[in-house]
Amino acid sequence: MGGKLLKRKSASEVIVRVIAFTIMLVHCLGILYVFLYGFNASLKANGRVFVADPNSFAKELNFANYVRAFKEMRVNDNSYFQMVFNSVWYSVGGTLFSLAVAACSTYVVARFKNKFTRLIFNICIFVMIFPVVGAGPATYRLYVKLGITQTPFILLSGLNNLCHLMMYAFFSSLSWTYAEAAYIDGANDFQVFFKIMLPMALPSISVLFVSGVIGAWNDYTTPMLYLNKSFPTLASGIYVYERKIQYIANQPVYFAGVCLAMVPPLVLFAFMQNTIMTKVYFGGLKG
Amino acid sequence: MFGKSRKILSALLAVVMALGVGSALAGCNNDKMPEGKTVKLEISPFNGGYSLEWLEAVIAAYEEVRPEVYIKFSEDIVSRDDQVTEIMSGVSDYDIYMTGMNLHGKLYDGLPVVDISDVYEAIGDKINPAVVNWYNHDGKQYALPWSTSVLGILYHKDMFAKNGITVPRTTEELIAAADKINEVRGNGDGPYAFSYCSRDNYWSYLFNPWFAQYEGIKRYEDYWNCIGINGRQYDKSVVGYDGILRTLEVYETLLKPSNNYNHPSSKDSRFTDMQIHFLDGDTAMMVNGDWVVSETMKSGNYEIEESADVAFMRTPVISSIVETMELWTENGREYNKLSSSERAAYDAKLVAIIDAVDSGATSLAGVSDNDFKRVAEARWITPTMADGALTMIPSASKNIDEAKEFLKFMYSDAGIKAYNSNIYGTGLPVDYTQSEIDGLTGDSALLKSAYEMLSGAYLTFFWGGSDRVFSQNGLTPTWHQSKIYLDCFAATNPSDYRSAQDYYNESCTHIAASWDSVFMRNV
Repeated sequence: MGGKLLKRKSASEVIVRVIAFTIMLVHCLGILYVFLYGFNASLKANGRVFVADPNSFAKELNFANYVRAFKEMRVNDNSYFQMVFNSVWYSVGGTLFSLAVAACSTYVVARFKNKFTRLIFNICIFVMIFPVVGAGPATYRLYVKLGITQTPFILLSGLNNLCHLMMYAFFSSLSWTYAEAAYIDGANDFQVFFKIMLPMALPSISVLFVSGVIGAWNDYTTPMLYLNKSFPTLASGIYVYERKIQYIANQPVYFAGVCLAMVPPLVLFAFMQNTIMTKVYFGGLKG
Repeated sequence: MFGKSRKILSALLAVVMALGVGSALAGCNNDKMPEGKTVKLEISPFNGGYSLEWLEAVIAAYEEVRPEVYIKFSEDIVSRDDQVTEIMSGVSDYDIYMTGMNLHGKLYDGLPVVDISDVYEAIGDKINPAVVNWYNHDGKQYALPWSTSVLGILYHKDMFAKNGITVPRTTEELIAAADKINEVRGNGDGPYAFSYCSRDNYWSYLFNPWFAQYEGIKRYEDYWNCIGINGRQYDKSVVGYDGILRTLEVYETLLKPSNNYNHPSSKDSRFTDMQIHFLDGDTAMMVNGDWVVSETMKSGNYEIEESADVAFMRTPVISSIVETMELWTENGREYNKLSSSERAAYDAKLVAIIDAVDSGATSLAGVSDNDFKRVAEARWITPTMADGALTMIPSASKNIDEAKEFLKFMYSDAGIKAYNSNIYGTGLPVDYTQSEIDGLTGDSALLKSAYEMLSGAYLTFFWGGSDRVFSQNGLTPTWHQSKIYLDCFAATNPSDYRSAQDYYNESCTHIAASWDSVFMRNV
């Protein structure tokens, strides 16, 4: 009887589900269409064929476009694989560094309240709201003078204020009871942080890590300016590629390059989608 | 399954990382100076439509003359904004920047670049004087053009010959040619008159030459020195030059949707797509730059460098110029208010003078000297984008003297020869003899016509003027905060459409309202 009650849906519920499903289906088809259009365009013979009828199906499968795109997608002698490698360490390394600094500093600021920690917090807020329009040349000058451009040390410049705010909010809301119990058992401050508080913060850190990596992976402006000579990432490589290929009027090769650039995040998502979606969904819940 | 996926992914990632590390180590950029070289120059060139074969050739020629110098450049510098940021920062690894945009306004902001007046002195009178004037800033020179970038209307010679269309000498003839193409197309799939790219506004390349033709070079230069029609500098009456409205009226006709002159894809497609439409014969004409040679060569689909079909036409003289001439007898009337037969009569007189100019005559019976000179001057105005191709030495360069020597070499006979032989476009903005033109252009009708437009011509620049009011504060002849005139004239939506007169009036209102707060800042 209870099972039957659970299975029976009201008419309005069915209508809502149908409408929602239709909207989502149209949305998905729209996204798929863009991918399929690009893939179809990448198989056409040349720019002339593409421009003659951009919406037609490719008559032949010109996979040679992918070979050409792979060769064209080089930045300062860095190949596609090198750029993927650079993207991995730039996005993962930068995010990890940012999170490590955020976790350590916000834990201190949140748990040990005094004038000094309040000052640090206020500085953090002030820096966030300070307008940075036009700071590009000054920032570039600073980084060059520090000697961190064209080196992995540029990751030092990627500290994320949003991480600080979110970690601060999380640590502020954590119960101090766990820490007190650990102190009673003889733990020192480092042990309390690394063995008690940080593990409790892992769900939040996971969310920030995933969003941070995705953001850093797609960021092309910072690598363009500070890493392009020595360590171009895939995102900046695609930007350079797009700028160069526009003068060649061979749109199929352009689309082939775009399809190639989609491969690493697609592979990552295909294998990790459960983990990513779980972390995003449960990230707001503690421990 | 989940655990297995992770293992597969980890393995894949490991392979990618290994390949990446391997490639990085194998292809490690060796920044060491080659043996025998004691001086290093680094150049940051903008890699756009022209590619960089010309730069490789000039560098190779320079290194022969100066074997101790090692010059390095990157082919992957494609962001104009990043170049600007690097120069503005005052710290840079590069000794020479070859940018793809107009930075004259930044000079007023203290752009940290080196005074290269001594380079200009060494080069002497070779460079077109319009270039020297434009690049002058407070009596000094801070940049040299690395490209001339001749602009104009390309056309298909064969299509014109087949349909009995004369190459337009005036804007009335240009419109008549467009009407003829429409007639040929009828209701079928035939060609359109023009293709253009709405996103990149190639039509706007002709604004300054038409403006200059109508006003005459002296008044045109007055405008770009912000001298109003009342003779006072930095006066609001600078909006009162009639040439602005007359030029807008030409565009209004060429772009009006009901005239159906333009290929339907012009509003939505990229410039390379519209080039393909033009080269495929879908359109008879297209406003473009000489870089089209390099761009189409790289696509591999056309042999434009050997084509006898595609060429530039000399910029048609704006027909309403007759209003400013002694042959005009319609006191109190405006050119665009005349009947079509009246306009045809004036245009016939104008065409006769143009033909005489083209044939090398210095006068024409029945035409005053002043009128003949006006038309001759107008006929020899050539639009370029040399103001967007700046070669500058940043103050942070560690080899300023060597960088200057390189620039001097680029404009030497050997440098010009190396450049011109390897640029798929016109050469540097110097004068060329006919035999030099023939040697450089081979079978290419396009390049031949571009060189002929360049030699001895008065050059106009796309961004117009270098005075602070224009280059830093943003004043243009058709300043309108949100509406670009080309889009307004081509609009199919009645609320977006503007006539030339309406657009001009709105533009004047905007300029007047912003005069003190925007355009006269720091003046």
